[in-house]
Amino acid sequence: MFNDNKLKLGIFGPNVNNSCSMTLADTTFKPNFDTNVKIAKMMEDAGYECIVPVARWRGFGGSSNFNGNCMETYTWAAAMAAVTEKIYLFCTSHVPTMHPIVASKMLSTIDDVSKGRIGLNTVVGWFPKEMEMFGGTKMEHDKGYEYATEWMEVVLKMWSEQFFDHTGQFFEIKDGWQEPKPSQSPRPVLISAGTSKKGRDYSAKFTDFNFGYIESMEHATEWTNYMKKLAWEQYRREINTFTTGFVVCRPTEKEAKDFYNYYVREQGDWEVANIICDMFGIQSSSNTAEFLTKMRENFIGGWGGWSFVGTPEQVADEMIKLSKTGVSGTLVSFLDYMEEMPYFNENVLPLLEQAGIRNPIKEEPAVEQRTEQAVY
Amino acid sequence: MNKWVLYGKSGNPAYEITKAWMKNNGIPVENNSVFQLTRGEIGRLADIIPGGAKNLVYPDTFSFSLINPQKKTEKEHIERIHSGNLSEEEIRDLLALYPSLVITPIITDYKTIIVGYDLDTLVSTFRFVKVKDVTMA
Repeated sequence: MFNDNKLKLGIFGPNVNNSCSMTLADTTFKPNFDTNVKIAKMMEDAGYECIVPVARWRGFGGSSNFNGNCMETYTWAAAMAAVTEKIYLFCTSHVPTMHPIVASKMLSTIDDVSKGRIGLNTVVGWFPKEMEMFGGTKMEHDKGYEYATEWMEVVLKMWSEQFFDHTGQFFEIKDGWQEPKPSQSPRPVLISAGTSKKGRDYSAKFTDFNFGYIESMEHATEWTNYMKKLAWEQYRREINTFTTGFVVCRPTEKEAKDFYNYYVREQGDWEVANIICDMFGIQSSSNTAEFLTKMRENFIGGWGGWSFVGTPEQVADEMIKLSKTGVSGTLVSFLDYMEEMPYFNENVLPLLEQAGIRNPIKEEPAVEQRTEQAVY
Repeated sequence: MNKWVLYGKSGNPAYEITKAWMKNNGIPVENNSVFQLTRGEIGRLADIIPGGAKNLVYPDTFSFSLINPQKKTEKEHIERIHSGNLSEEEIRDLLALYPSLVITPIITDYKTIIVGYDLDTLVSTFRFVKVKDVTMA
């Protein structure tokens, strides 16, 4: 996650049905372990940096019941860690669903399994029906971040101290103790996607990457500058930004746009897009019809991410523009990873290398082999 | 994050137990033989132990002999040290010459010092101590 590539690449949500696409369009993609391993191997061969899974406890509804079928992310990461060698994996953790002591211990365990390739994405939980499964209520927004702050403080103590006591608003810990500590130095990479004032402050205080959506390239620059300034001025910390987008890349622009039309406009699950946009407070009263349609299309296309639709050259140009904003990377999603990712890898990644925003893949030995070489 | 050093002598049960306790509680420590103690290190340890250098030494020849049964010639220095007839500097010089006189185990970060194995003292000392630095550079 801290290599020299100016634009890092990962994928978002290979562990959930439909991944990031709210559509009924045909796809061979399945959110199962075998498919995830195949995708991860393909990514490792192409030099991607990371995989961020989605944490979801129930579907959003609609005819696709979007994201209803979801592999739990800690167990997913542990299994993926055992069969991959280079890619950095994240657990996405709804903090109200798990005690921080359990989370910190599980991450340390996966850190050992993965040989230092596990990170943590903390989320407070914003989907009421989902959070109500855990105790009947969803925490109010600001209280959720207060809870997350204390949760993370406990995790960091578990990773760095022994025999500590903690008395806070939400947790009482007597003689806190954990072994093993994470093997990574200094600790697993921390990320969060807080976009509210409280969420950004939480991200600035604890995390290494603030994830977020971009509305324009100018917005990407402003957001990155804002986060860097906030983290430094408030907490004397360095932070980077990371966004997400969806890819439809075809040999011609017409083919790309035709496919976009098919899976977004014709087969899109507009019902679930409306449910999610309503939950995000994207109201019709304060926005134009064009804006609302585009917003919903972006959700259907890939969870509201940036649209990378076009020929390899067009997709690469857009990624080069993104890199120039200061954003350090983007997650990408495809409707059909096994069918579409190889074309992207073969035709777009070389253009990013030519542009100097990604380095050619080195034939690096796996972590275990590197360790052996170092010892002998 | 402070660096902790454990001075010991192999074969000393209290040292072996302390070393195991440190390892099994995930507390990183540099293991050093008491026989490697330099005059400077003895000075640093003596500066932080209440009562000075004599309290780094076995309290009597019996306890010294239990751990060092083969060291007959050093034994006489135990009584000399505890007699009160030697100055602090003389004791330190003597310990530099005969480091086996120093009781083990000793755990220190050169601000705090624990002499001997005492579970409660270990737990209370390492409460809230950073054992891993998790701050990003």
